[in-house]
Amino acid sequence: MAFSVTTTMLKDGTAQLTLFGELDGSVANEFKTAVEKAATEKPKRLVLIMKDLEFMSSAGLRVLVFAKQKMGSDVDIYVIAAQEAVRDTIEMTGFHHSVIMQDEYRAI
Amino acid sequence: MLSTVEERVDFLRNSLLFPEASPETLVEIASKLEDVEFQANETIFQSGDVGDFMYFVKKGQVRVHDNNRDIERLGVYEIFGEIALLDSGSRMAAVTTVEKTDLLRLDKASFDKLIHGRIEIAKGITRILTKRLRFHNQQLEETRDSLEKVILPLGIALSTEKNLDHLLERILLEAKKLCNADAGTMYLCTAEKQLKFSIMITDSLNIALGGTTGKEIPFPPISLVDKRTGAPNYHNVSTYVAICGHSVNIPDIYHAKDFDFTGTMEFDKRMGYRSISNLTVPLKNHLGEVIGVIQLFNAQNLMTNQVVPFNAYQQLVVESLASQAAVSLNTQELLRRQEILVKIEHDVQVGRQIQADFLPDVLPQPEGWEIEAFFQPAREVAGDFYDAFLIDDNQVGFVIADVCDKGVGAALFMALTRNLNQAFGWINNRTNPRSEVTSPENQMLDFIAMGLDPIALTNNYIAQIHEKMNMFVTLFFGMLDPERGVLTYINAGHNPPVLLDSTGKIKARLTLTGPAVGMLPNITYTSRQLTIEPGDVLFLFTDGVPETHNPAGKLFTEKRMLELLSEPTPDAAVLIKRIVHELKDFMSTANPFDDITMLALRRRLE
Repeated sequence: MAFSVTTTMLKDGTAQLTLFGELDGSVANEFKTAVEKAATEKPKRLVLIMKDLEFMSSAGLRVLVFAKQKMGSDVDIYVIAAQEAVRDTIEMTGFHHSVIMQDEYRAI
Repeated sequence: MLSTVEERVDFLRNSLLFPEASPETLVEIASKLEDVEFQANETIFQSGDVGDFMYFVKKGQVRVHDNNRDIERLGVYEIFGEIALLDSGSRMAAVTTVEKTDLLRLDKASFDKLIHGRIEIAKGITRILTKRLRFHNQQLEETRDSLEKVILPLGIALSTEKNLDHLLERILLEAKKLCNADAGTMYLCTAEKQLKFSIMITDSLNIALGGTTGKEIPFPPISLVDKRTGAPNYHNVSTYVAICGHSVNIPDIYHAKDFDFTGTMEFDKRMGYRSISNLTVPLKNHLGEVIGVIQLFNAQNLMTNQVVPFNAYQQLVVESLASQAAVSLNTQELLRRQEILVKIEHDVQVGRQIQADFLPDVLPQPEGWEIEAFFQPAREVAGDFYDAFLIDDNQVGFVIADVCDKGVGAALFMALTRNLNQAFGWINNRTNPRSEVTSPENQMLDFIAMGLDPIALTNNYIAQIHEKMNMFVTLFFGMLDPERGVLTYINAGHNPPVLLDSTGKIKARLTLTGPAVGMLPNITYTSRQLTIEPGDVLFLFTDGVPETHNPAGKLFTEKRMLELLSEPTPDAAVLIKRIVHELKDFMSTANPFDDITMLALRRRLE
């Protein structure tokens, strides 16, 4: 399934990115561009809705690492409702220690 | 100003249309005419407009043009707009005033009546049409002549010219010669959005700079962007042409209002020169992008050497030349890029060889063990890496790693990681003499306690120094005591290796003991230990195995890989071959998506 990402800026300063489809090396740049664009709004937190993301390769994970570095340590990154395969990819590399993984979004 | 009938009769007598008309006819025509006045640069009609009037130029000058190209200029006593009245068609060209112009116009109904009633008027019209035909014929002849004698031969010459400087110079010199222009400048567009002076020639001042002369042009490049506002720089005619992509023809730059010629005027003052007429033409590539600009000054009459404006025909010829030149420039650029590509290809091959040298020629085979590997890069150079080596008689070290990318960048990163690991490992050996080492596990724990864990040090280096790359490496590092089967390992975010017993049953997954290397700074990696029993197989892999795609884009999956592992195997080589065979079948005609690396260590049954 083709990859797509939609961005919503919420009033409380949250940048919410909703990811669909399969995120591999061929489309990782689209995700990166969306993160870069969201970063210009200086959000308080970045919420990634991954309910409909079916696959994420290491190239996608690399964008998550990029997001963490780009947003800075003050901006929490939430990974919401990641499917098992995607969660495995994040957890396998140990990146789940750097983000907040939740089934449903609730700000901490 | 309105004219009297007498004045009009006087005027008509001098026009080309009515030399044979009787005084009565002239009075009749004069009474039908209407005075119209236009300011400079006002459009009288556009190409495609309905033809409802014909015009006589009483005072001033108009230019007949099409798509920014002047076809001809008409002055006092000349007429225009008659063709659309004759064939009831639309206007074939546009007419704009050059200066303030007074015209007399005749409407279509009166014109029709005149033509039908009087043979001498019809004769006059025929005369006008014949004159126009001759003019256009002559233009066609000249164009054909230039095409045959100048443009086509030059095109052939340009296409064989291999030296870029010679080519540019030739283009400029030919354009200059075609117009008998005194001066010419060639600019080239740079990646920094500037126009760089490439060649500058002024014959009468004996100036020849840049190009093959090797003499530097003492003028800085002109920015295509206004530095203060960031808007396109339309101030200079050269930058305007580079940005807009069409030619500009100015009869006298000292009267030009649209462009800033301060620089040229300062040059004139300093050199005692007078720049007058100017023709500026863009050089475009096959994509229509402007890659340079040709600027000519002071076209001269061939007979008198008087400076004259560049005419429409000269403009056309220089434009044709520019398009020929652009094709050649483009070919040059493509050839240059191809050469670079060939060089890169060569570098990649060197990189591939260097990388191949990183990989072990022969894997150590400690007594009672089989160690087998498979490695297939997705591109010419890979981001995967594996190694197995004897540390001493009691220890075998092995590593499998994957950079989160493919190609040259990943390979460089892989080399960096490997070298850092080795360098820090070497420092460790120096600070921790081998004699003190009691076991692999203790050695690793000692390193960590001393803050000298090679993986942690590498991690900090990559996370801090190469932060902008967002590269990370998943890495599994193991130290094995072959005699006892004791394995001590660090898993830095790598796909968990699988420990299988002799029946193919999964005994353990060797999950992570720390995040991927380079992902986060200041990480302490912990080590773990387990025992590999006789008959057990430790299978290590990179994500290229489960993520191999088939032509339909489906993944091979870890599940499929585990199924293949669950079949009992006589030795490590058979196990690897089985998976390679299945992967190739699955991939079929699809391109390799990721590097594929596997490493299997089997402890033989005693």
